[in-house]
Amino acid sequence: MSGKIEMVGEFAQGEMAVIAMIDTSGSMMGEKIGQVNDGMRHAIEFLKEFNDNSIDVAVKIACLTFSSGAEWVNKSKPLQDPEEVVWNDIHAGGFTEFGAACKKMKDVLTIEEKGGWMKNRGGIAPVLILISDGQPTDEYQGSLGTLKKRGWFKGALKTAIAIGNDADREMLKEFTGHDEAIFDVYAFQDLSKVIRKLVVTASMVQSQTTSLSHGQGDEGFGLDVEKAQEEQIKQLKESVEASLDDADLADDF
Amino acid sequence: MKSVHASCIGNAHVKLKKPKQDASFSFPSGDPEAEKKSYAIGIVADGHGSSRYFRSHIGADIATKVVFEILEHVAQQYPSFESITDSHELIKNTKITILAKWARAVRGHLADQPVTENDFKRVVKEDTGKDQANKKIEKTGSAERLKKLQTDHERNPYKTYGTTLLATLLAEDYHLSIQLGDGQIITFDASFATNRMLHQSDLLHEGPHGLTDSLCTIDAYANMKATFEPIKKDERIGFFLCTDGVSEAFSTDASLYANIKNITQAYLKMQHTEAAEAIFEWIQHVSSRSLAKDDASLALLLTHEDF
Repeated sequence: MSGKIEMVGEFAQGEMAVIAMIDTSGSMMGEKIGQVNDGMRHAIEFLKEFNDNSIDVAVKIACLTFSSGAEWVNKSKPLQDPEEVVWNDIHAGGFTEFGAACKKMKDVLTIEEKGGWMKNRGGIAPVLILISDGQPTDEYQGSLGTLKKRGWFKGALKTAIAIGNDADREMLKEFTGHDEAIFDVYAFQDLSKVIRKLVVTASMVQSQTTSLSHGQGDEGFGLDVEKAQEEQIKQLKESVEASLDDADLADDF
Repeated sequence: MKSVHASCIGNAHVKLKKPKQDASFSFPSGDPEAEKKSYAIGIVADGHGSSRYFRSHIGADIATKVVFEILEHVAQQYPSFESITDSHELIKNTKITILAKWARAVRGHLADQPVTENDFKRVVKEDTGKDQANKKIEKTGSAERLKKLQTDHERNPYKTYGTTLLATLLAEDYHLSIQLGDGQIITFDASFATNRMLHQSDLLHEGPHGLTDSLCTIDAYANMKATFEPIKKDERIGFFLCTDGVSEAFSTDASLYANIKNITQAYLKMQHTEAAEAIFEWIQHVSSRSLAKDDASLALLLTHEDF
């Protein structure tokens, strides 16, 4: 009872998806894909902890792989509470059909009422992390263009990991919208560390900024969306780079 | 006809020392003489929260005032459904008049109190202060940001006053509802069994919370939704208008509808002043318990006293 008028029903809770788009083409075979698996496993452990400590925002995770076509990891239920996730190693082989991944992504970046994953009430724009070591082998521009028109994509915190010299930085920039949102990894043994740090930091940055945006009407994702995202990326870059320089990073996890 | 409205500041705004940026208004709002008239009007407006919209509370307040004048004129000019020969023309003219009068009132306010460089410096300072981690980057970016704000203002002086708008004119046998931006207009019957959200197919979120249409944007006319419908004479019908501080607070539509029922029933049992106070308490409670802790506003319109 709140005063003289009874309040009934439940309040909306924040929900945010962290979605990794992983290039699993043939060139990712060996150490690279091994590092990706290791990084994702650690990141999921962190997200479990994040949810335990978060009052307002619950994070869910999904992983989309693309090679000759694109498919969600754990097809029957791709978007999961980190507690539910049992990470089975993903494997590399085939082409780099990034356009196919954009199509799949577009389908989920809409509200649940329209068949997507985003919550109409309490829905927070997702974190999207694209990991790739090469050039797309399909005509991806049209599919990426369509994806970029989605409101949930515009509001998302988009970041990318460019693995090695052959990564298509132009494509990664097209996806993220900012050069600064791309993290270069040349020493493959660092890949796992970068993935987990990026997932961790991006989740924190996005959930905090979005809390602020809720509080201030449109602070984070309103008509100032571009500025807000620039700020987020700066914050993300500083934070990730600072922690990667930290020799004791391993102790964090 | 009966009406009540309420508006409260959210804790998030209190914390950031921002003013209440919502505004609400209703007619007849407990005035016994006015209740004899054959129309009721409800309006809520949600001024944008970002620091650059530092006059949005004024924009929201202006919106409630000019829209009340316009809808009251419509009610007097067109007392019945039959008196309206061309509803498309009515909708078009109402929308244009709202935008023109709001813009004129904003220009008047700007002429009285011009925006100064210091206003924009304050915006830059507020933004910088928010993010201590980016101090260095902010310092170098401040001049650039200041220039951008000034250029934007020259291009669109209405921007600092940006606000959403939801309004309903409930006449004897029709209603005219206008919506620009987020929030909800819900119509319901006396049994509370039938609830309907207006403009939902148009407004169903295709982006995260906060991406909203606004009176201050160039495409305001195109984005302004309107519904004009007949109502059976003597039909008991209610309208509930609210900003997103209320509509986004609940996890489901059903929860929101259940609360509309409670509010309406409580309102009908109490004297107007007592009911208005109780609704204010309710809205404060909702705002403080919600995820956003945003300002929250509502307006309730009822066709019958014994709804």
